[in-house]
Amino acid sequence: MKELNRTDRLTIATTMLAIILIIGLVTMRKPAVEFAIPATEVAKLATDPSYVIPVTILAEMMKNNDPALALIDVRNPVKFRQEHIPSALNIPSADLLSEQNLNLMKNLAEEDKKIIIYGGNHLEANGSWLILKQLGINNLYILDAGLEGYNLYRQNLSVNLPFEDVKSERPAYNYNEILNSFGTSSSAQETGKTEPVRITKKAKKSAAEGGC
Amino acid sequence: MSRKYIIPVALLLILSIVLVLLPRKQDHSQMSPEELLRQINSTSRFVSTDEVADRLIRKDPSLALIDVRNDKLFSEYSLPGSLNIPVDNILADESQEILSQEGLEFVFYSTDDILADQTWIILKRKGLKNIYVLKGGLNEWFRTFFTNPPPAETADSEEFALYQFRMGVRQYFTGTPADSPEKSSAEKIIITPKKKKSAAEGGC
Amino acid sequence: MGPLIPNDIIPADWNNAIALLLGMAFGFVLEASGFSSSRRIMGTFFGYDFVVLRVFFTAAVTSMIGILYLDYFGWVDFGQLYIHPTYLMSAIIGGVIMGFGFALGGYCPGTSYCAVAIGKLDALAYSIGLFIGIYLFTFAYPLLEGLYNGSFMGYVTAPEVMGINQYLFVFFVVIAALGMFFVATIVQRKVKKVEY
Repeated sequence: MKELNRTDRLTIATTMLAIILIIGLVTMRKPAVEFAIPATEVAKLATDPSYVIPVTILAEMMKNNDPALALIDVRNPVKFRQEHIPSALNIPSADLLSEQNLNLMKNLAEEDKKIIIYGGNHLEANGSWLILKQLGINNLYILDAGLEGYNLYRQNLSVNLPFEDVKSERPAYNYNEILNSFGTSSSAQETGKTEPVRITKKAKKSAAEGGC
Repeated sequence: MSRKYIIPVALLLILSIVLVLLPRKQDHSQMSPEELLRQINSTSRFVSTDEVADRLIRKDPSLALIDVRNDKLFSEYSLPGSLNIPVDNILADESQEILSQEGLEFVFYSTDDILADQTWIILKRKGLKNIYVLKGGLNEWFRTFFTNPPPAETADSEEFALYQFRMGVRQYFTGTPADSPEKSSAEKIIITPKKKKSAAEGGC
Repeated sequence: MGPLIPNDIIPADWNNAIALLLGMAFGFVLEASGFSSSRRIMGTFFGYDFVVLRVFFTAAVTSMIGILYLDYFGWVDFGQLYIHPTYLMSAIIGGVIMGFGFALGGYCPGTSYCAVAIGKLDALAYSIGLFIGIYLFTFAYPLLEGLYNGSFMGYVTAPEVMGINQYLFVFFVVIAALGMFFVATIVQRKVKKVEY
């Protein structure tokens, strides 16, 4: 009788282990979206300026009714309803990775459309752009300066002023010149230098020791 | 061996064999795209120029400024106390060692904030904590501290206080109180530490 | 509590409550496996009872496989688990001392408390001796410090040191454990039964 009980216990334990693993296998789902480009490649994308579409080029494409143009606005629907660039499609950045939207973009990319995404300003669409790029969507561009830049362009156009494209990551000032105008050279700045970053080896926190 | 052990032994053997044969999974060390998107859509990563200046002046030991432009631009001008790690180099082992130090808050900056923001996204994907972006970058830095016009006469006192603070910052970083043409009352300017914003405070 | 408390998934206040629950469960399993009997534990050394070997290796193998599978299923993040740092020299010397104590006293620290709980006097003496030993160690610490902190290898796991695949390593451990069970059964059959 005792021996039988033991066997039962063993069977129960074995079955439980098997059941847990089966449940795990069943509940395991493949992640819906996965990065297609390794992080080391993304660093190269970041420094490549050819993805930035200046407003003047966009205006040119719109004037010619370029069939390849696919404009995407990543701001929220409320802002989109208030104002947006004509012919733009609204995909709020929060819903960017939904299956439907991703498929839409993949299809657009396959149709050789030039997908240009924009946000309210130069920075707003940056994250959306980079995340889609990391998912491996091709033909993806970002509008320089966003809706702000477009509006500025329209304004200047309406009063016949020349419009100069604002390039992101271009210094707006000559820094050293400004500093010199205040009577300092950049080397005199050394006085304000703080300690550089100290490099120490990473150490994990110690936890309570275990034992039997 | 008695028969009752056959099933458990077989189970263990099968499980361990299956483990060896399982298709390898994607590496764990990075965030899922959905989580990354959530982090991107929250704006808590941005730190204002005012806050960074304030922390620089108070010599906050936890602030680590990282310049992500190339080394040529870095040598021309950089913020005081900053370290240069160009984006192309950000995932190298030695850079990762610097960026994974605990107790520091890394603030990235570039000419404006696009490049710094992209650096942030790349590193966030790799799961780094305590990383921030200087909103507006160097352009904003100069806009706030060197080319900012004084507030209108009608502006409220808060605006004047902010202006005073910024003048103080300018004086601190140029180190020439009396030379500047438009400030005769430069000596009187006292740097009042602004209240720290909560943006960069987080971190576990 | 492994990755949960340092990452704020469970508030740190729960630390003690969880420790208590886990301790109770551990004590229960030890007692249920008969580990509060020093004779049964000694059976491993004399060859008449290998339950200690069986229980510990079954636990180790099951949890190894379990954690790797849970990691695979995405329930547990293996990278977040705490890995105890390796101090090779002190581990070897400490292991030898512990082995002697184990063979002489018939208990290891955990099982001695288990036996105290059911009122065994030898276990009581054993645990008092344990505390005296800890007390003496604190005084001898300046002498032993070099050994205690020496040959630090960092937070490494065996497959990492040996440079082999972690899954393959687990497979070999499972084979080794099963082989050991098999040998233990044969030895046990040959050695005269001891009643206790």
